Amino acid sequence: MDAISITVNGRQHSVEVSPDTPLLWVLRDTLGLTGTKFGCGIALCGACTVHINGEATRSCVTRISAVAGRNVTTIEGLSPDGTHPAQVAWLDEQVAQCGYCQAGMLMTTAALLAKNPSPSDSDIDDALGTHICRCGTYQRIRRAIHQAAEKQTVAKPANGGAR
Amino acid sequence: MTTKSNAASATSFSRRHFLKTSAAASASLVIGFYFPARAASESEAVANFAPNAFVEISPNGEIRLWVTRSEMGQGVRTSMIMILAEELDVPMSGAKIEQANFDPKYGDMTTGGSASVRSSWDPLRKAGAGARDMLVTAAAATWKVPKEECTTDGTGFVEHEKTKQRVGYGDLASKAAALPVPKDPPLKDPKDYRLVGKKTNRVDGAHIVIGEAHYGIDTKVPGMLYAVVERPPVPGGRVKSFDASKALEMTGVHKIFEVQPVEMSSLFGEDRAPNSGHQHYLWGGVAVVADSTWHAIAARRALKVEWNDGPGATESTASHRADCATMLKGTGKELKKIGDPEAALSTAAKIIEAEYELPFVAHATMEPPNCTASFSNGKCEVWAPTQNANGLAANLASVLGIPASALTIHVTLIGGGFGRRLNIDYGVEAALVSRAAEAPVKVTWTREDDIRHDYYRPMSCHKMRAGLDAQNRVTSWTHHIAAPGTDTTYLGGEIPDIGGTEIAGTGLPNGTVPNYHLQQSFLRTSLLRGYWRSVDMYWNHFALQTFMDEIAHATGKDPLALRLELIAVKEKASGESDNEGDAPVDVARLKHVLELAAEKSGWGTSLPAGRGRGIAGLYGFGSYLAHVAEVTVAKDGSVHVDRMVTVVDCGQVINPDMVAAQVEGGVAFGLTAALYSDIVIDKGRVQQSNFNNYPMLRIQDMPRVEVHIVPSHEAPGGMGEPSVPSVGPAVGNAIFAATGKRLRRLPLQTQELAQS
Repeated sequence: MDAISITVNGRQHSVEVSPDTPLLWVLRDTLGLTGTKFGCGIALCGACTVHINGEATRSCVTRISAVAGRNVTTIEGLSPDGTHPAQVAWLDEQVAQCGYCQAGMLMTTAALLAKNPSPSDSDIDDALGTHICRCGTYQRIRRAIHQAAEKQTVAKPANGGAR
Repeated sequence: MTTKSNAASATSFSRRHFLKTSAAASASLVIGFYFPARAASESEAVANFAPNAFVEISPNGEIRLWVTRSEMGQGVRTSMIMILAEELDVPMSGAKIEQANFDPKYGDMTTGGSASVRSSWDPLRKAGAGARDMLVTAAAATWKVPKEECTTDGTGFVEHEKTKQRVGYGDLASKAAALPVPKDPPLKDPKDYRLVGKKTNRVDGAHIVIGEAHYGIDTKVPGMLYAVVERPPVPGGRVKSFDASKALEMTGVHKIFEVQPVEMSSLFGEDRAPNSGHQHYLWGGVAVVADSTWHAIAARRALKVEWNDGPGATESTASHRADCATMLKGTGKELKKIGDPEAALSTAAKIIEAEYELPFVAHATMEPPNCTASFSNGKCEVWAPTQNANGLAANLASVLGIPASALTIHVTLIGGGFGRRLNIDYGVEAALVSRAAEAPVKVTWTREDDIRHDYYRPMSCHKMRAGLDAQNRVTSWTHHIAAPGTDTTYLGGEIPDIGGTEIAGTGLPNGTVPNYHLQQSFLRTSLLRGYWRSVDMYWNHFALQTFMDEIAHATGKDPLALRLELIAVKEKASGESDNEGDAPVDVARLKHVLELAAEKSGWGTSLPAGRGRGIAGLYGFGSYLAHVAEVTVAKDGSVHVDRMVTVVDCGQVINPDMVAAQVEGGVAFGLTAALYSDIVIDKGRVQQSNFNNYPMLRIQDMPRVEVHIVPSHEAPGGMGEPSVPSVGPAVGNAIFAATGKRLRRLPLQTQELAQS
């Protein structure tokens, strides 16, 4: 069992686990970053979604050996102070019920907004359509994404400002 | 309280019976919850003011309020604290909100039956108001002014306007602690509410969006190991032998051992007869304990277990369906009879008959079952995502053979409950694994473990008949249910015991038709059954409200008009409760939600081809609720629910945004069951395993849910469950309106709608 070096939320860690261990369990059991959730183990529900080099990725089916040398961002590192436009909109729309799936929803939303600053309803369906919320918060998620997109556009003008 | 004579025998108890008892006991519970303030006996110079189990104010002004039910997304941490804070007259932000560990001093901590707010409304108001009253008394005595002239300002201060004096609750704590606790403190007039009835943000929200909300599965304690358990593929099966040689060589594995089957006590502390035939056992299995969850999962794959399957191995969905069909041809146990339904049918001008069927379904909470336990030196500490702390305590004590005083139960935040976590199997299992591993252990269930080893919402088959006279009035109504029991899992017995939780939702038109017959046959199965969000109301309402629609169409009546005609027979408050222990149905409120749902949805206006509307409404869990579903059926038969208009009258609303959230969630939950959920059995084995073959509703299939709340100051009704049961029939009825085809089996067999 060799040490594997990974970067999570800007911090480097050296972990000793079997190389087939999914990133999810390294985050949760080894690093104590429990914001990333276990839901299905086979990439069907999205609760475990993190960013790897900015791409929304299912950590439950991503071997730790494949993450070596890459940048992982989890819900704990999405923003320094919980003020990512999606996090703000999530609270504003009171999206969460039990909240268990919401870290994954937020991570996919953040990746979506980074690529597509004003997603349509069908863009939202495409991006979030592989996630599951058993509490049925979907219509608030949709509203929150639209709201976050608006906030983000106001904060960062599309033309990058006057320059 | 109820006239339902056959609902439960004198010796049998049920979830509903239990809830009824706790609801009825709520008045005396208040007194039970009050205990003498500590300072009164301890004569400390500086004492905290803790007049009851829910409120504590320290001299430095810190206010701590305890939540004694389990938070699983329904918002109890917010709504219960709103009620307490309202009467204590402090802002939500000014209080520290604490989740209570299991403690008998809190009384009933069970979180089910949509009962938390309903049964806490009076005790919590009195707890808050009593504390406030004592603080005001203490201030008045300090200032030597009449108590009646003192007020609280909503921010934790007592004021006396005449003398312009003002003092914080903290400064009054010691003095208030020495005062007697008032038995009947004055409660606020609803018009003075600052919190109750107003949109209030969820107290866990900010933690959830940054990943800092800690659920049971996030528990980590010093020295903790991680485990998974291989359980028998057929319920009731036992380990014959196992070979752990390969698994023990895997990375990080500590120990592999058999978990012996154990008999568990009943779920809610009810008595049960010896040899009752109950199925409340932990079937056992083989535990794999490792240094991480993954290492345990990986090692389990290398484990070889031979099983003795037991008698359940001969069962299949086909055999269950055949058994139900046979039973529905005969007669069942009579649960209720009014008039002479057979005679009325024999002279009816027209008879309408239909059969309906619902499958076994699983809960599939997003946070899978899990529990962390630490057993050592005859003591056991557990961190449990449980809806049933009382039942878990009783079962841990009996299975481990230790007194309740040797238990510490931390009730964690829960990632979805829906009734699954009323069961205490996974908690008892974790304690046994910890004891055998001689270490603190977190046992995690994979999704496959969860789907295959649930306490399933039972399947049910329904035969309905209605006799109509020459004027198309319904003169007789018969309903024969074939189903296994739910309570029977825990208590044993057959029909005499299962009536209690199998017939809710048969209330109307029961009592509105002159000749009525309700009977039930018992389906034997080794599959464990449990309470699933809305329980029997779901299956009975699917049959009942679809059948009402069938009668309407067969007689050329509007489905709304037929409902109003049927319920118009009953006078206000003369009817039965759909749910034992609830107040009798108030038909005026039921009529109002149906009519308002029709109005808000544009009922009766035309829709393009391929689209249709369906209506269904009910009284349950103390609330009145009606749905109008609007669906589009494509040529290939696929169904999309476009819109759900819901009107709810749940009495006094605590937090309107959470009422709306519970409706949205209930619609998604009910729709998942209506469209997808189907646990299929073959050779005794559950064939589904994960979200690929046990799908859930996703964002693209979520209808637009429009919620309308009827303003009311009636006693609060429950909101966790009543939005669920009418979803299936509303959608099925809408499909009929769109296509003229009637689907009578859940999940709705939409392939039958494809146009050739």
